[in-house]
Amino acid sequence: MADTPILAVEDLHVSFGHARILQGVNIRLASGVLSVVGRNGMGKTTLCQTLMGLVSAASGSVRLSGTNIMNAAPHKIAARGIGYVPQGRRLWPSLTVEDHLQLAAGLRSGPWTTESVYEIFPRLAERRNNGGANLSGGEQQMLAIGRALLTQPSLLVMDEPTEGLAPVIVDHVIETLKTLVANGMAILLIEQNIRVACDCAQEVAVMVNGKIQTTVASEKLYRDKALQGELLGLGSA
Amino acid sequence: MKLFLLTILNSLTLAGLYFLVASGFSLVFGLMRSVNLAHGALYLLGGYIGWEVAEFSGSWLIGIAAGAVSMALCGALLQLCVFRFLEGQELRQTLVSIGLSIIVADVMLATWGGQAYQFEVPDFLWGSVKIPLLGLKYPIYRLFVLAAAVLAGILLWLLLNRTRLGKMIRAGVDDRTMLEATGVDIQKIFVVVFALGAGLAGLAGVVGGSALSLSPGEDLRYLLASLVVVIVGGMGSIAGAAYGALLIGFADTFGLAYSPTYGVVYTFLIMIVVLAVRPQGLMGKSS
Repeated sequence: MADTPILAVEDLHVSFGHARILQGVNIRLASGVLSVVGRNGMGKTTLCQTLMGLVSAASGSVRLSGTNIMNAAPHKIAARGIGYVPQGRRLWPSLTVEDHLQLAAGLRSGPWTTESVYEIFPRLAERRNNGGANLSGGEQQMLAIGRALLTQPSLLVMDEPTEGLAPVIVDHVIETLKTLVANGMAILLIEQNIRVACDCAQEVAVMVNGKIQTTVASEKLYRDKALQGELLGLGSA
Repeated sequence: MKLFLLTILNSLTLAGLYFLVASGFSLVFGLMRSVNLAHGALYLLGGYIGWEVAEFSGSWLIGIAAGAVSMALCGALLQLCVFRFLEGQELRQTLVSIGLSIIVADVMLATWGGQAYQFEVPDFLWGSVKIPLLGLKYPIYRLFVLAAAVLAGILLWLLLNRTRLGKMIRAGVDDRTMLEATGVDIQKIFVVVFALGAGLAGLAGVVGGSALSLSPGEDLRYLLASLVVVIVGGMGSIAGAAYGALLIGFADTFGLAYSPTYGVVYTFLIMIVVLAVRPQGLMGKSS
């Protein structure tokens, strides 16, 4: 079916003990980028982890290109085509850059190779024998993205990829994401940075208390500071 | 002087034995975060099975292989049938593995009795050899134990640093959730690592049982030694296991040689100092 969205999340509920973290999340991503913004503690990271199978959901459904993947094992979800770029990069400190990429590259065959990752991130090629822990924040982020790409995903789930990066590096990440999307990649982009969220996507979903409260056009959200303040609790600064 | 040199050699060979046992224990803990307190039972059971096979086949080398392979299978079964269902529940893993080790110890006592078993090592490892520079004689077999430990250490290092499986294991020790999210079936890696750790314990059972002897109680002795070695060296680090084994081997042997009354104290003194100064162990990463 042509209108099957790459990602469709319906009425997703997740609890940790008595704490209800996700309370009926609905997301539909046909193609391109959907940004999800929200204050801390609203459930954004839990949403990513649930999509990846790292946290188990109580009810609802998560469909990837029409197939229900909710609560499947993480490695099966990765094999079905979700690449995960986690918050805080979460590289493996004892592995070199090259090790990271080779480990991910050997799992599935597809268009991405270690060489093509080095092409889009030449900095990584220069540092291929460096340990994952000896990279700058920007290089770490490139490596985390490269690692996710080598699992040959059709959808990237990115949890705050620009967190803690210098503005010039943030621009580089944005450019990279736009290039990926131009080549057919779908991205679910979790962001705290409104500028990045609005720049990359047409639509921005706002998460409040474990629900998608509203989805707004990114241009509108970017211009309307009052709306930002209302939805995200941001000051005028 | 002669006593001093001999004590150094004895320390090294005991350290070798400790390393063989503790490296498997450390590997399993590092990746799976599960403290397998049945590790000592695997050591002794591997030794007994190796002894039976060596008696039956008349070959000590086949005995070694039998000890290692049978315990590797045991380890894989333990992971598949028991520990897989206790993931992330440290207290239960600890209790279940203590329970298993008590049951196995009693079954071994019922099967092999309370007497000590001694292996017949092959002729080429029998007797002693004069060590050129030091000018003293030393049992060939104890040198073999040292060589076996060094070889095992090198092989483990190659496995962890030069192979794809090794990279996965190291990545899993660092952050296993991300390893899963990258698409690796971590349960398969767990089974392989558990089998490897248990196989090393079984191998050490035969090697150690030939250096000393097999008897009830050895399981707990080696479990305790492994625990101390990995606490001192740092959980999950093979290099740490090597350093820990050396330190504890030297403390044990020198303690026994020079102040037998307090011999045991030194080992635990080292452990207390490490825990006080560097709780993650010499080579451990602070979490």
